[in-house]
Amino acid sequence: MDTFSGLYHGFSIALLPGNLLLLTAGCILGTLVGVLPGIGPVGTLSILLPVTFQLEPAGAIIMLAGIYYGVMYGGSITSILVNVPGEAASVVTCLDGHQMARQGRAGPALGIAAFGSFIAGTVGLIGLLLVARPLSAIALRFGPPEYFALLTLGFVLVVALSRGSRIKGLVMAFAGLILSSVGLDPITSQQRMTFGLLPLFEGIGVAPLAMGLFGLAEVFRNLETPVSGQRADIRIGYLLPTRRDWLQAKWAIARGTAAGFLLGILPGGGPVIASFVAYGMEKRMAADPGRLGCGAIEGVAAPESANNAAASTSFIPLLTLGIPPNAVLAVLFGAFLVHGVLPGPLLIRDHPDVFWGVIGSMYIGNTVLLILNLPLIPLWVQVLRIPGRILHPLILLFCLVGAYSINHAVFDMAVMIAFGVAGYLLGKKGYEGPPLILAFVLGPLLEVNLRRSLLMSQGSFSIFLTRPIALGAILCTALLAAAPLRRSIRRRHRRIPRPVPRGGTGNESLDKGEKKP
Amino acid sequence: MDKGDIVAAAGWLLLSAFAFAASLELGVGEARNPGAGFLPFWASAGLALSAGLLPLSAVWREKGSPQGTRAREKAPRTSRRRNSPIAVAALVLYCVALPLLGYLLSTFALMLVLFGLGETSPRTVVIGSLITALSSYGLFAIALGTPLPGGVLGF
Repeated sequence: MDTFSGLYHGFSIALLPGNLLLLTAGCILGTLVGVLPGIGPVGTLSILLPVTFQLEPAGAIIMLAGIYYGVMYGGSITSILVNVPGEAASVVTCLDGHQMARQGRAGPALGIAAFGSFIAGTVGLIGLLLVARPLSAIALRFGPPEYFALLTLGFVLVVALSRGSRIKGLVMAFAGLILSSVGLDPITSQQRMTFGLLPLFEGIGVAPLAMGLFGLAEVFRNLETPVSGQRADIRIGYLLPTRRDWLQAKWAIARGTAAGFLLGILPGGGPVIASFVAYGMEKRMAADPGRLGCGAIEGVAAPESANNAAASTSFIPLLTLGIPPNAVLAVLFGAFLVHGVLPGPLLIRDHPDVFWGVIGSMYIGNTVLLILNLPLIPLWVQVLRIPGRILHPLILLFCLVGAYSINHAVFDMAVMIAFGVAGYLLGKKGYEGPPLILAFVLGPLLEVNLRRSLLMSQGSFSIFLTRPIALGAILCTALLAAAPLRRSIRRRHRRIPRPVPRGGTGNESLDKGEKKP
Repeated sequence: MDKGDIVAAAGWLLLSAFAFAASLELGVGEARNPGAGFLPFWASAGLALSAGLLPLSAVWREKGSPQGTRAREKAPRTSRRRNSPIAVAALVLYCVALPLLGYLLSTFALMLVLFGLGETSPRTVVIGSLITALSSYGLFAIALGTPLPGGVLGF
């Protein structure tokens, strides 16, 4: 099946009435939960994962992809209207989006976010379509050493790009690896750390772990922290951006799309980093950088385009190599596994319906979001008014029933609660969940490929240095791992001779009121 | 470095010690033939090393910050702080009660506690809990066909 007949096949699957309904429901559900401040895309996907358990694999993945897109768009609505980002990728959208809303231009801000997202998402999908097939073909030639080296690079990137402490990121990644080794050994089928408990023979389930670590933990945090911020009392007005808005935003959309496209593919990248980079680029390239942060439409168009382009292209490593580049895709990877589908180079051959169906549904999902969400904005504003005291108990109940429905066992509920408590307590101490979930999902792949490589080479680690792709990945890993050390030495080097200006604090750039995104 | 950080680091060291012992029991093997304990062994070593670095990095950061101190952000002590422990306790009890009392009764009791956390009137809490238990049973058990435990009510 060539690319175009594949795409045609994908459209024919995605446009089946049942799948179209699932896609639309996914987009609406995703936007609905994405609108609620405090529940990010990982939490949303984790919470809504059980909804898909009883569906066919293609329909389930199509729905989950719709949820992912929906949640990305929902996050920007909250950022613009109430200055509370629905998810991390929309943090920078608050800066100009909310200013526009305060100036009575909430409509054009939401409109450009929707159109920018649509354009960037579509470009990202064209890239996915063009790159996925050749990359899958190349990946088929990868052996265990190449996979191990690429997975190691992914781990290091995730830790290096984590927002908090890198050491804490590393701790979480190692904890994820240990948790991933619970269950039967993938090569010898020996029991590992199961305590003789039957439900642990197949390992800890990715769904209860993700639901606990992200869904439950976020609800626990929200239960004790009242969501601050202005309630949505803003007039939306006319939604379509004016000709002037388009002229101002067109290059921002293009640049944001380009940045998102590239950053989405990289392991450890994804929508969050893409949106920050796009905003930074806009600030550097703007004719009048002072406008940004004061309600400039470019400040909405660039990050929104970037995060949607990245959301599309982050599917490339997942679908072609079987490597989820970020935490959201790690949960989606788990969903693939729950439905008995292994993402990777063989996906096109073994599950063409899922592969092409997902790609086809992404095009349609982008259009559905654009058509549905603009008229539904007043409804989303109403959703924002639902008080947390009603919403949070309902989310907890939904998670409980969802965890129970995996195996119809209370054990999964207990696992989810345990990880919920762990995620809540660790979050308080600045530990982030993404390195753990990525390590947990990728751990079995890493282990199998490492052990097979060592068996192939009779125990010689030089196998990773004698194959070009593996060597390249190992060199990148080493450079990335050494980067913080180099930066720290350089900083210390600079600190000693740098004269402190008289009466200065050394933080003059911040003192002058420069805003950090 | 505050007490919580020390407890967390100690917790990680405990986990790594457990995984380390388990990996030795499973058999680490050798490079030419790695055993079932190979990955847990190296992961536990990595965890112990990085957990050991946590106190050092905290000291390093505190030294590097102005006047050798770090401003600590503490969440304000409000009555809402007890909401999370209560919710956790309610969820744990729910796990115990679900097979015994069944979905409807245990969900009703759980929602009483959870809605009760939100400073709502007792009447609203009771009616809200009843509606939630019944409607969620209708959605999950009847519409979606999830076999939920019947317990004492038998359905």
